[in-house]
Amino acid sequence: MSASILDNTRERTLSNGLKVICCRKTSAPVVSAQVWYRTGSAHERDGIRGISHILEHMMFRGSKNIASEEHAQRINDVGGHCNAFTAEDVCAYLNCVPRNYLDMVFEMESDRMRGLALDPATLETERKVIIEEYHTYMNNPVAKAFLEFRRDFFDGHPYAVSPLGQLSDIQSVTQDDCRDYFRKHYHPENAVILVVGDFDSEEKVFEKAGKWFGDIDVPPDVPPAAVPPVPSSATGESRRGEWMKRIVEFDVPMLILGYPAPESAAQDALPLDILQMIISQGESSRLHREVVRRQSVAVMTGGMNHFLKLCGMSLFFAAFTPDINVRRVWKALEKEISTVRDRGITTSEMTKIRNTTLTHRALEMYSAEHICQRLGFSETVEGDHRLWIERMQALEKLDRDRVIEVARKYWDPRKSHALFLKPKRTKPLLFIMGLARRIVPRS
Amino acid sequence: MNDSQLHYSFPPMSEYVLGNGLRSIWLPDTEQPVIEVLFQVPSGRAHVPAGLEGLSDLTANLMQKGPSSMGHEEYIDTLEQVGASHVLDSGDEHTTFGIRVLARHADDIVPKFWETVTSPAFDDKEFRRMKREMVTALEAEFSDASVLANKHFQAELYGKDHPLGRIPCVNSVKRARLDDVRSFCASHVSPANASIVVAGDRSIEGMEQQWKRPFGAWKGGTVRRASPFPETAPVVENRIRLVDKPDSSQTTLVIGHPSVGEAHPFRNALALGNYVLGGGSFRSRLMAQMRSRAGKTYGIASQLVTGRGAGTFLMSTTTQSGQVDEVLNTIIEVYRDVTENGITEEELDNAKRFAIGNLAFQLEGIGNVAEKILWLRFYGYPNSYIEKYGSTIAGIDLAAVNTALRNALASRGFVICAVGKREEIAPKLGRFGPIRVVNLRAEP
Repeated sequence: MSASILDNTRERTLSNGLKVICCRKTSAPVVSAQVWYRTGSAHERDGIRGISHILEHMMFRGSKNIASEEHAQRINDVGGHCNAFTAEDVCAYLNCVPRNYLDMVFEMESDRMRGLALDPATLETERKVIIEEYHTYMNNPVAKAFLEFRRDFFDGHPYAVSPLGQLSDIQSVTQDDCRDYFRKHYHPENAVILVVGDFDSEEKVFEKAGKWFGDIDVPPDVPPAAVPPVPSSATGESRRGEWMKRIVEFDVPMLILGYPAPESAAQDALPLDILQMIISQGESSRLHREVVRRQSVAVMTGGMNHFLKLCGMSLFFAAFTPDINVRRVWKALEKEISTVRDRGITTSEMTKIRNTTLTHRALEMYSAEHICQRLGFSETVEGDHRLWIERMQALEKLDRDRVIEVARKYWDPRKSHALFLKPKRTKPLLFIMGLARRIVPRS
Repeated sequence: MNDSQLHYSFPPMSEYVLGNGLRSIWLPDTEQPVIEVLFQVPSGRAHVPAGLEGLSDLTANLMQKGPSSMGHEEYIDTLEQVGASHVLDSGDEHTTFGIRVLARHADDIVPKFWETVTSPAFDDKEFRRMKREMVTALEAEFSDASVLANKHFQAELYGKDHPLGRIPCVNSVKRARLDDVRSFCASHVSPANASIVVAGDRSIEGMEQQWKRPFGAWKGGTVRRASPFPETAPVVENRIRLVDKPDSSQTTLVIGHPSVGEAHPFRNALALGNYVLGGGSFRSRLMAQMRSRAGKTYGIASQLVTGRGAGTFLMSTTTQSGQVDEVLNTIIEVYRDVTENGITEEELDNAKRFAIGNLAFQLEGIGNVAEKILWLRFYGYPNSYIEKYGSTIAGIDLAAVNTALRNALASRGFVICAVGKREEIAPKLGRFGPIRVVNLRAEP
């Protein structure tokens, strides 16, 4: 199944450096066409933190031949949908349309790649919208606390700031800042086009791409975008099992535990994902089985790896009742992690993960948009779209010793960083309920 | 739009009612090596006894914890070992259980899934664990203004005596006993009212050979026919429920009133009108006015929620608390303009093109096709409803839409739910109607 995607994927680079990747999939009469720019919040400097996200909004607010919001409206008018997102390393513009509207998408995407209207009055209106978006995010106590966690985890690096940016910078970014940032980052050499779905042929897609994007020039004297090297805080070298506590307007106590992780394209990323699944995914995972069911220390547990272009975070969390001491929860999480690190994983767990990954991959393959997005991430963040496909094949060959080696390398308790979210208001009822459960255990 | 978009053809399938009354649909598809089974009963949150809100969610979750013949851990291990996962969709009027599994493991896994759905263990230990999880999840919702606003809106609109006003809360979940779960399951899960779709990488004959007999052998309980929901009185005067969330700098608003059900003759015309009002993202008037021109919100939308009998119309947004009165006023003005003066021919054309073109995305992948078939059967529609949907929509004219907006949507008053800092927003909302302030952690 993955091999057939690899077989069906073609790429071509236009003379201006714009890479086009396409994959034909004819099971539904739809096409997903995306443009990924290799720029994100990591490329911003102090004073303009949040500008990539501002430009994401302004990309829908008009260009030379396309009026403000015409892009989204025209996509909607044919039954399609479009969206965009800004991340640390990339900004992506996503369009899904019925099969015969690829030209329309290319027309509009190429027009905004040539330059934006950046009308001052519209910029002011959109600034207000972005500030609303910022406040919606900050009014979520867990999201807000997590921002502090990442600020500490990536201390001294642009990754420390969320792609939403700094409020003071969002309020002060000028039209000139936007023009300058756009000129440096939004050009053919810094972009990739991905097309997945029911198109006539790969040649036709390349032909259309050449027609719409082929004559867009790369601005002269644009230096390659640079991101500062990974700070020692993100590799864990400067920490010793630190933790921080935040009093939050949230009713459920939570513990978040983070370890350093490698960059997304690293050979270690796949084994670390396998480990994460074994530890935290599903009801048969080690955390759920041991910490939730056997010890009843937490009500819910989970985890995820957040891989970025230069480094990443391996995260675990637990939600628990107020009668449980946070140090006990922390100890229980670490114990499961150290068991994997010291004793390894079982053959049965490896089989489970292979089957789970195969199933997830098969389900993803139904959607042109999902395939497009996976290819886009691998190409722009990891450097090669084939990595997403080849990772599945690598999983078949991965052995247990290699997985344990990676656990030992990254899940070092001396390099961990923890955040305890303590509810501002402890609910007496919840406390008593939890305590009663512990005094008179019924399970 | 082109001719091919006006007609859709479902892939070949086989459908019949088994001897025990179970509607069975077999839907082969070889695109991916996966089998998906979806089992649906027409019972949900609105069918639980008053005071036990959340019982349908508890029951549905427990029904996926393993059959009586094996322990929970053994069941979960068996499923997860081969990468299988459950699907659960718990609504007001329906509950859908499902399993997704690699086709090569389906012969082992589908029977176990079938056994847990038709003969669940309902283990006391799992029940108490499930209650704890649900209580924690409900406690966590106190920090989510959007979830709170929608729950309190629905509670205020329908009231506790109406089935649609039965909103799960911490105390009602704590009150539930395992016998309540058993009783709810016995009276709502039966072959006489259920449908099942098996979709994926196997021929119709292969599916039937493997699963037709066990599906047909299920006896099930005696189903309790749900009574139609009582009529909801129109909202003639505004009434406001303010949920005090002192830590929030923004206010989340949900504004609406009762509306028509799925089978109402105006349903499709209203959906087109709603697209123009607030359902059509950047093509909608609410988005144009509130976000694109004024920058007062990150997002605003309206929706028609259509049930078997009744329906709900609602508009929702989040904005800075200092401007909540201005925003609410504009929303009501836009609503009045659309419902009283109607929409334009150009707007209708855009709405129709979206509705027709979007069908291809709703039917991408066999899992989506299976869900759509269950949706059709739930409302009693034949496949031709979707196959002719394009031409049905194309045939709706402006007069029909504007008549529908005037006669079936325009409401004199609204139920308004605002979640924000009381001391800041109460003075601003007073001019819209009487306000009832409730605590953040109060039962909806």
